[in-house]
Amino acid sequence: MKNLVFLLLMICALRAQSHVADTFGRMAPVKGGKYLPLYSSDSQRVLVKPFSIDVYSVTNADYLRFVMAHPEWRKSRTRKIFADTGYLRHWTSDTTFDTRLANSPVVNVSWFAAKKYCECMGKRLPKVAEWELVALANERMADASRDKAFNQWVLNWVSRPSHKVLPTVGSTFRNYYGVYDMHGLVWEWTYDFNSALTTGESRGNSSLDNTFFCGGGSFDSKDINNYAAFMRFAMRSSVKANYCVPNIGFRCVK
Amino acid sequence: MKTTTIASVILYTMLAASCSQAPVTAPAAKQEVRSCCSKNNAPAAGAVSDESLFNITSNWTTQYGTPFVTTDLSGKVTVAAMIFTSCQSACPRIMADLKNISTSLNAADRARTHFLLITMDPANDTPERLKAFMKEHQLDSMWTLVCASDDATAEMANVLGVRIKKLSGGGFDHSNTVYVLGKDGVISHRQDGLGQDPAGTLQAIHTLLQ
Repeated sequence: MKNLVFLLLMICALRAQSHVADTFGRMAPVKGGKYLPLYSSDSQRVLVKPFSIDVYSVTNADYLRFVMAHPEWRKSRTRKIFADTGYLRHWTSDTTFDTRLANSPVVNVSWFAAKKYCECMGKRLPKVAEWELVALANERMADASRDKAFNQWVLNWVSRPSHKVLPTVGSTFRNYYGVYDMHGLVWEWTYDFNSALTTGESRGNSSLDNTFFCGGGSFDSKDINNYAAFMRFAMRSSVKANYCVPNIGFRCVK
Repeated sequence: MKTTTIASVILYTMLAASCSQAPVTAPAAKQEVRSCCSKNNAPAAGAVSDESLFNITSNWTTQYGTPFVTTDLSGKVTVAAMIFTSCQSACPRIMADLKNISTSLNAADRARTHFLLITMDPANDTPERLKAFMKEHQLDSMWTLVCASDDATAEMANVLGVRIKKLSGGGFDHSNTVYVLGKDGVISHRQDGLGQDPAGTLQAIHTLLQ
């Protein structure tokens, strides 16, 4: 009898867990393609090989599991060089947060933390080209960069102040690849975010300064989608890898 | 036993052949496999400053093919920069800046100041290539040149705050900064941009050596 009760409890626990775990680790295949980085000419398209991407951003519940297994990433123990003082500032302790946030994207995490999380899942952070390729999709098309309504929707989100309480993952739209919330919820870390150079800090006579100003030229193009992409570029160029920001989360790829 | 030796030699050669290859083949780096999930990542709390580069635990290889970890710099004052040896424009200038720092130091300071060149191009900058570069530039034994996996390189760049954009035609756009690390591995001075007056850097080194 005792065993039966225990078994029932176990089943309930498992079911409850499976409900929470619904979003955990699910991935969608992306067949790859070509991505044109900002400030590049057509000949500089980047070939993106096939990969899989997390359907949802990593949630607070997901991240809690990670810090339970890796105490060195609890906020009281993380080193400043890898995560600034804002690290997990929305958590009430090393292992607790407002339960309503369980299925919301984890934010206030640094690039180092995000990178480590993905590694521990046997995954990695997406490259800018991979992330942007998936972000081109609306509900129906892999490349919606010419869909005015879609671009306007993305732009509207970008220009709105951040949510006071972050909605749960899956609360925006499911795109062509079956991936949720590429736009409309949080910004996301990319592996090579630091390849965004906007200042004249590179070699004096390189193409960098030129490309920066030439970028203005590409703005007049057919592609107003560039505007939101430009904001993402600016965000990437303004952060450092140990920054923990209230509207930057992440997802992983494989 | 013999097989093991041969295997080790082969593995070592593979490691030496390219720094960008996954370190899993290197005997010395065996522990790095799935290191993300091992708990050895952070040094014991309190042992190393929160801001120290010594918190980086990745495995590197020097121009001599010997292993290198950041804590090897412990107790030394080090001038560090990220470079790549096939660089045609900025790197010769950053090398000139570094040599300028070296030659401008007074003899006593120079004898105790270490230089660390970290490649941002592990695919091409093998230990052999780094050794050749050392000869080309007539660098002495105070200079250590290191390479590691792509991942470790990305981590290092992000700790230092170096921005690197790989160019489609080969090469990189990158920020040019010279860092001065104290004996505890903390960055205590940065010289941003090329062709800067090294006075501030020399002073920082001098102070740290005291």
